[in-house]
Amino acid sequence: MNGGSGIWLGLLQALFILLVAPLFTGLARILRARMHSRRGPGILQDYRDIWKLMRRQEVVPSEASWVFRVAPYVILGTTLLIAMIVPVLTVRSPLAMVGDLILVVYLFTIVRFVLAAAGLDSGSGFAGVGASREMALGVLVEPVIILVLFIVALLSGSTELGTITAKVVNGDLAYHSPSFWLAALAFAIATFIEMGKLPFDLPEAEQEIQEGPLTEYSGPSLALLKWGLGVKQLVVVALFLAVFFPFGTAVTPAPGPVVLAMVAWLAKVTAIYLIVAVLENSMARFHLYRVPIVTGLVFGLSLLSLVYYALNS
Amino acid sequence: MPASGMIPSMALLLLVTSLLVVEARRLRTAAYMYAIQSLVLASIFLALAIVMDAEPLYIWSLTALLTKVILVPYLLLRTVRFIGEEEIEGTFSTPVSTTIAALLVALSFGVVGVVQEYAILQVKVALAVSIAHFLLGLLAILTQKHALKQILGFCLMENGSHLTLALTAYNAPETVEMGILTDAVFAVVIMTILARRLHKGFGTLNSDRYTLLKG
Amino acid sequence: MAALQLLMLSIVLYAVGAVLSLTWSKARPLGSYVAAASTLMAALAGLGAAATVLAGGQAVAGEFPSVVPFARFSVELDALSALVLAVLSLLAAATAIYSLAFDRQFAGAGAGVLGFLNNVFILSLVLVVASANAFYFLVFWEIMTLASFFLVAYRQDREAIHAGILYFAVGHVAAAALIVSFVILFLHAGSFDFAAIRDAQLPPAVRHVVFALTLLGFGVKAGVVPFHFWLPPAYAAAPATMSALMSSKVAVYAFVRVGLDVLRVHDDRWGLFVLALGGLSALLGALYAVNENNLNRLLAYSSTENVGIMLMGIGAGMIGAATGNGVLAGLGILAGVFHLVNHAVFKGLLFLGTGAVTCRLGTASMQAMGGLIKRMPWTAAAFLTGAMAISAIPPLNGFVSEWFVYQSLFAAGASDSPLVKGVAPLAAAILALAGALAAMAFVKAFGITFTGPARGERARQASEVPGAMVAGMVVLAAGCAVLGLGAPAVGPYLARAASTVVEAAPITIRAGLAVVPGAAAGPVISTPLVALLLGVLAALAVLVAVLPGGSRSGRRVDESPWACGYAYSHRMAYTSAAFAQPLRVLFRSPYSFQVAARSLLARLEVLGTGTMRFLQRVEPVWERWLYRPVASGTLWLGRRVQSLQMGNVRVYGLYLIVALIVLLLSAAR
Repeated sequence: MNGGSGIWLGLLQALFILLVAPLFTGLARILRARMHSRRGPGILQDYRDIWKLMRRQEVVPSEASWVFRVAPYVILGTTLLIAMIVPVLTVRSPLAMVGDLILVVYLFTIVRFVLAAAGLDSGSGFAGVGASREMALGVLVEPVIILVLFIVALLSGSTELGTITAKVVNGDLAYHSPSFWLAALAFAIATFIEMGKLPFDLPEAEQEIQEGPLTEYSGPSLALLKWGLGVKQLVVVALFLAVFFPFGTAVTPAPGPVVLAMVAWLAKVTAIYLIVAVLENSMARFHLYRVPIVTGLVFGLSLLSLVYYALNS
Repeated sequence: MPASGMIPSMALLLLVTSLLVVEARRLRTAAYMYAIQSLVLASIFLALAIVMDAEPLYIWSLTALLTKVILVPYLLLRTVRFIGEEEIEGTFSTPVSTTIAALLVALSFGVVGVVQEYAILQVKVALAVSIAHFLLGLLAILTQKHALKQILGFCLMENGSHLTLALTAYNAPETVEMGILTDAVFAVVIMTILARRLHKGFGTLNSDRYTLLKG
Repeated sequence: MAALQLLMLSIVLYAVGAVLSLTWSKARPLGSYVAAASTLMAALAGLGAAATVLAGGQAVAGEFPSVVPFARFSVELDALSALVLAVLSLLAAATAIYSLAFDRQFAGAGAGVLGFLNNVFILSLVLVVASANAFYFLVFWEIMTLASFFLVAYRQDREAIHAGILYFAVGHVAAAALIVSFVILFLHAGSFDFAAIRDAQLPPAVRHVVFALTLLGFGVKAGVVPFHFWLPPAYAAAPATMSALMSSKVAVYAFVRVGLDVLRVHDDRWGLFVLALGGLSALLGALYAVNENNLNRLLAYSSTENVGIMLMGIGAGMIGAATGNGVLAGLGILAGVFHLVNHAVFKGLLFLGTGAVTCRLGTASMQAMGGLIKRMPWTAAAFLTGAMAISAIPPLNGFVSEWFVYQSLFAAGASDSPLVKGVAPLAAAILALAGALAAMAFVKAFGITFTGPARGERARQASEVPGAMVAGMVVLAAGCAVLGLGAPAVGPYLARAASTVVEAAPITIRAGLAVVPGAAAGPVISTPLVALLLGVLAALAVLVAVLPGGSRSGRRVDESPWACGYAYSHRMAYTSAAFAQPLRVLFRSPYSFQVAARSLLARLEVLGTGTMRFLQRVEPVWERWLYRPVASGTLWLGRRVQSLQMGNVRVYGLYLIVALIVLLLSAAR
């Protein structure tokens, strides 16, 4: 794909994900409420929340410095950049000339790094707990993500995301390969952990992993952060879909197929949110120190995938 | 998809379920996982029967379904209900034991690579998995402290050897197969009875606490 | 010849700088200014020499008059040594500027000696890099060790002397290994010249033995994992400028030069070994770094981690060279060398930043820091740049070299050998784990030191360091940005440097604004575009925040953070020890290993506590390290034998599985 149209398509993707992110966080809230036999807010509630926060005055603790103030913009900007690189609408990555999947994984590190730094900067003890846990969770999840993506990249011959997506769409890389489905299973669980859902994170609790560093935020900054974390959730799902379930994406970047791809992608994400909601609401919160049991199993799955790759292809 | 293409995937699914059996925290979950695993085993027998055109394997598949998917898990679940859930961690943490498991799998693949008799690649994979599975069961017996988990480890070992047998000696008379199955079932029956007695005597199934047995 | 003359000039100017700071130190401040200017000019001359070689694309060789008859004083600057010379000169320049103000705290306490030692240290490093003769290489290596020993012990308090003597002992273990290996080479090649050794027909066994010895010698000096224990005390005791210079990790360069270039050991088993050693160092170094509460010690452990990352790249490259995979060989060595260059820049920066903080606070303990971002804004910004670079945050330089390490592991993963195919992705996962740990360590280092509330009185009253120190840090921070954003421009030189070692044509690194791993088609990363897009998208986020009008109502600065309705106290802020708590629980076993390493350290420290104390301690030392292990070993053996017959039931099973695995392994043969 040539650079010019790639940039525009990338911007379209970023804008698309930015606009639908509150929709899906709202959907998650509704599903959760329904499973608790509550009515729950309307599906548009998160848009209203963000709009309301945007117009409020901001309160900043006296200890905080510019790191605290800059963090929301960096986090939203970084997640949008990921949204531009991951193939969401077309088979090819819109920004293949900018980076590959290793860059994407390290862009997620920026989000973590900045969120934790901002948490420590606020001076609040709760934010510190959240910052520490955020980084610890990264330590547990990132190696597995890299291992799984590495195996899939080796199977498809390139660490470039568009190449992998194209191979899966073509059927060169398919689920009858044990390496591939084991990797898919492992990555699905890793995605679930990264989404910050219940057994690993309690998104509504102030001292928890994701909300922790947000403790001291208010007004427009809080709105941007909530939005940014919503986008992050969606981008994690998008990465999973791009690598392991890219069916329905447009082969050419023409308007018709792209619109169809949007619809298909929304349907796939809705399905994932439904599954996630069921899983989330059927489990109780894990102790942080229990997470290694799950990541250990994911690691085991990816090791099986690796052994099969190393010895049979 | 032809049945031969399914065999490696199903064999690896067998390994995945055995990881789940070993790492499941609750005993009930572990027993259910074992039932799922036996279901996979029965389907592998079915697929092998089609691929290798071996009629005895159809019967193997059916008997495995009856005994291992239904009877053995039922016995185990009853025992769990009798003694109650007791959470005892294994010797190794999950990442360590999964790493060891993967190493065992790699080892078995290496061993099978030497065996030249099997022309069909998929069958080779299944053979490697069966050996790995046997070793995994053994590992579970050694590293798990809960007596019921050790019984499950025995069942895993048994599943592994069952698969090895199906791959290498499926033409043996049916009596052999019957012998294995009754052996497996009765072993589980006896061991669950022993587990109940132990539970009565010690109030726990943590084998590390059985120090009174020392001579 | 221009390059050689510049190198000469640089050497002479370092010598002049050394003499001047020693003799003129009484005539402060003029003397120190002249000395620093001399060092700075020497560094610029060194940069010029390196730039000439790199731009010309030709190796330059020459000879200086030798003082001994049996060895020629030959020097050579090829692309690799020129690159290391360049980064060394950059560090020298930055520290020269920095020390103008930094050395003032040692005024009257031998600031002149400090300047002298620093110059001698840089001089010996430059000559180690340029030497093409094993004898002179060793001579300058020894001078370097001696100068750095005095620098480590410079503060002359108990701690510094301990650290210095430990360093001295370790340095001589390394030197002994190197002397033995060079003598073996001399006996076989009949000459100390690297060129002659390169051409000599060495028996394979000799090659392997010598390679093992060089790996040991340079590995000890670089602080790879079994030998990492000397780094934390040494770095904690040494002045910041010295620590920054030591971050150049010339030992890793020397390993590449001697082990790969001169010895030409092309064996994939050694490659795998180096890769595994690197992975272990990266992982354990990062784990220990997270758990440190002293900034200098944290940085020291992180050096172990980064040396590990370099070795991972080099190991992958060695596998490539052994299997005739030119792209893998080029990529791996390039990744290792690139990370060496980057590490020198960002770790140098971090040490200078730590030096700035400690010279204001009088301690490197993070427990006494906090809130410095408001009182030392420039230092904070520079430190943050270094912390982000070392955490491999794109688009800074640390990310680029780690990306190359990943790409070399990817190329290794696509090779034919099942073992390599299995190990390479695992190594990538270990690199990711080490990277996540390093990110955690440096979020902590920056966050606890510079942000949040001040945790001590001196932190509350700190002020920004003088301009010269800031300027020194800014030079290196700019280096981080240039090496990161300018990767497409710098890459080809690195590829050329790597190709001198593996004897292959340089691999393709650049494609327009992006860097590529060996081939123009395939994965790319473009750091300039990443920076541009991040900027644009963050600006978009600002726009989104400004448009609805919330920012118009202004920002209210509240007195203190929320504390459940109680009065906020700075003691409620998170501490550095608490931040790492989850990891202490999650990785219990490696930390007990750390305790074991500490006791080894304690053992070596005993050697350094002077004769008197040593005599007093001789008895317990022998008891502790000889008699007690024997006694407890016998007991242990007895207990094991006992358990053979009546131990845990599961132990019986263990014999079974061990026997089975041995059987299977012998079958797999």
